[in-house]
Parts: sequence; structure tokens; C-alpha cells
Amino acid sequence: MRAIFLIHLKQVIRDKDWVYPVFLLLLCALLGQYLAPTDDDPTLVFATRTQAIWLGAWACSIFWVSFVAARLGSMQRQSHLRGFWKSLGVRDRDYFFAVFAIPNLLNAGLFLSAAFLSIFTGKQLDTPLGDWALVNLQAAFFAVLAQAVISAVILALTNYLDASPSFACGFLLNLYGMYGIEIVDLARSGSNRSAAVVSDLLWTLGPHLHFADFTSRLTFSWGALPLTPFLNVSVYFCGILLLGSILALRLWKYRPE
Amino acid sequence: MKTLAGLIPPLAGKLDRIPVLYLSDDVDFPARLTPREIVQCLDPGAHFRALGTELLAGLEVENKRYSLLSKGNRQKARVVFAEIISRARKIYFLGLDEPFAGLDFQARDYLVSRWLGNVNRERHLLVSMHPSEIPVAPSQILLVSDGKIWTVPPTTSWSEIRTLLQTSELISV
Repeated sequence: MRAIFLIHLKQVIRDKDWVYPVFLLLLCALLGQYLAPTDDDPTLVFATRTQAIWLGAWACSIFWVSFVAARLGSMQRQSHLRGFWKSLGVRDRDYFFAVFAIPNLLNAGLFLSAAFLSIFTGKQLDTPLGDWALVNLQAAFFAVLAQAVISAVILALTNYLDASPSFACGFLLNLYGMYGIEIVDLARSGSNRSAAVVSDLLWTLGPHLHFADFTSRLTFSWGALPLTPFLNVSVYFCGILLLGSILALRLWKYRPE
Repeated sequence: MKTLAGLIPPLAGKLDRIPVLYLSDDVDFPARLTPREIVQCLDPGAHFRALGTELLAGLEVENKRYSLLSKGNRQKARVVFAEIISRARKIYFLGLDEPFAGLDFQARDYLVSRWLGNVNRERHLLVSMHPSEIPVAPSQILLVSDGKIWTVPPTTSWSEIRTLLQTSELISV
């Protein structure tokens, strides 16, 4: 299990495409302030920088980390490594978690870097540092949990699909969980009764990934999430991660070639 | 070999599952890593890295990216990886599917002399190969066919063995 993790982690490091997210995050931290009319209102500098950093981190996770997960997963079948490890007695579950750890590690690195940059370059002058650091860490924590669900689904799908369609499924799930579910929410309160019932069901079932997006909370300095809602959201994400992992493990079962 | 390794179910009966490394010639490792780096990853405890280095040197495998290695060098590297991972994971049964395919005579001789020179009753090596690729005169020949196992003298030629195997039903009758 450790060997699988190490070999693929080294592979990702050696692929060197992690340079792009690092570069983008630094660019957002340095030039993010120019995305808003800060000449008119200099106080926007910090908020705009924070927003740029976190949007950049989310974009990198949705596109880069998801693609890394898809590529790693599809490589296992294409390179006949599934059979190799299976013959060595590595159980499907251990195999899955060894590979799954890599996108999670990348997401953790990515969102913690965003939090670090945001803490030191995006803090409003009148915001206490402790509170600002806490809300950034909360944002990183939820973002990692939310994206873990996506990575699990993508990895599992690569047992049946190539890298590109698996990535596309993860991307669509991200899109739905982040933005689509808000449209469904609007339909719930519509005048069409049957559409409202269906929307209500979809809204209940759907993965509410938008809960993990703290960009607005950080940009508008709404402060850290209080303990009770923080725990509620944590339990929610742990729950969908558990369900996603169970589903992913079922899909990840070894299939003879 | 795949059945022994648990990759495909047996056609009939049951087989007790024991860990068997099955190395086919279509297994590929990460393209951008060098053979030494792969050995390091396969043996995180670093107990067999010296052996890996020795084997890679003995087989003259260049330490450049796996994707840049020639077909023969990849095959040599695969055999080394199989040796290392099986030792690191304490797997005592190795199934190598045509390990000499694409190897030069020097590499074949090196591997055979290592295997025959380090006989270990706990480790078993099952190798499949075309009869024309058998590099040494066997000390024993065991024939397995249609549920029957029998021996023939080591001097028996391949053409004779083939005839025996094709007419095994007649023999058993």
C-alpha cells in the first residue's frame, strides 16, 4: 500500500504540472488586487486578493487535481498494474485508498497554500488575525472534504472509463454541487407543483458542495463559522464522503482483463 | 499462472489462495521515474535496495526514465522490480510470464545463473517461456497435461515432449 502511494506520488511530483497551480496561486496573491477598481476604493485590495486566491485554488482543484485523479486511476488499468498488485495480495480497498490519498494530499496542499496566502496577503486591517486565520482554515478544511468526494468518484469511474470521461463526470458533479443545486433550489419554490416536488427531492439528495465554498464569507469578511454550524457541515461532508467512498469501493473492484 | 495469482478463476475445482506475484510483459510502470527510483518506492523499508542496485547493474539497465528505456531494458527492469517487491512483501512464489522475451543472451545468462545459483527452498519461481528460449539443459522434466503429471528423461527433445503432450490421452488410456 505504501509502495503504491509512494510510486504514484513520486510520479505526480516528477510530472511537474504542479508548477501551474503554484504559479497561479502566487499570481493571484500578487496581482489579484488589480481585478477590482481599487483606485476608487483602496479597501477592496484585500478582499479582491482573497477572492482571487480562493477562486484560483478552487479552479486548480476542479481542473488540475481532478485530472490528476483521473489520470492516476486510468493508468492502473491501462498499465496492467491492477493485476500486478492484485497478484501481490493487495486488497482492492487498500489499493483504492493508496491511490485516493494522492489527490487528497494535493487538495490539502493546494487549499492550505491558499489559506496561508490569504492569511498573510488578504487580511483586512481591522480584522483580528486569529479570527481571519480560523475562517481560512475552515475554508481549507471544507474544500478538502468536498473535493475528496469528487476524487473518490473520479477514481472509481476510471475502473470502467478512460481518464477524460471520468474527469468529465467529476467536473459535472462539481458543477452541479457548486452551482446547479442553487438553480434546483430556485425551482423548489416555483409555481409548478410537480417540478417543485422533483426539485425538492434532487435538492435533498444532491451533494451540497457549495457549503464548502467560503469565497463569499472570506471576501466580505463575515467571520468564522460558529461551532454548531461548523460541526453540522463537517458531519454532512463526512457523511457524503463516507457514502461516496462506499460507492467508489464497489466500483473499484478488480475486473479481470 | 493468472489462476494461481488469483486474477482469473479456475476452470474447475477450487484453489487455495496464496500470494503469487504474477508478472506479465505488458505491465508498465510510471514513465517518468527511473528504475532506481521505482525500486526505492517498491521497497519503502530499504531492505533490498542494495540487491536492486546490484541486479540493475548486473543486467546493465540504464538509470534513465522508464519511458526512455528500450524494450529489452524495460523487461530487465520489470524482472528486477518483481524480485524486489516480492522480497519486500514476503511473497515466496513468483510467476514470470516469458521473462526472457526481448532480452539479450547476456541478460538471460545473468538471470539464469542468479536463479540457479541462489536456490532457496522457500522461494519458488514459475517461469513460462517458449522451448526455443530455454537457456540451460534441464536437470528434470515434469510433464503436466490433462490432470496427469509424469516425468521424462532430461535428454528428451522438445519435439518428443510435444508429441507426448499431444498424445497424453493415449498414454493415460
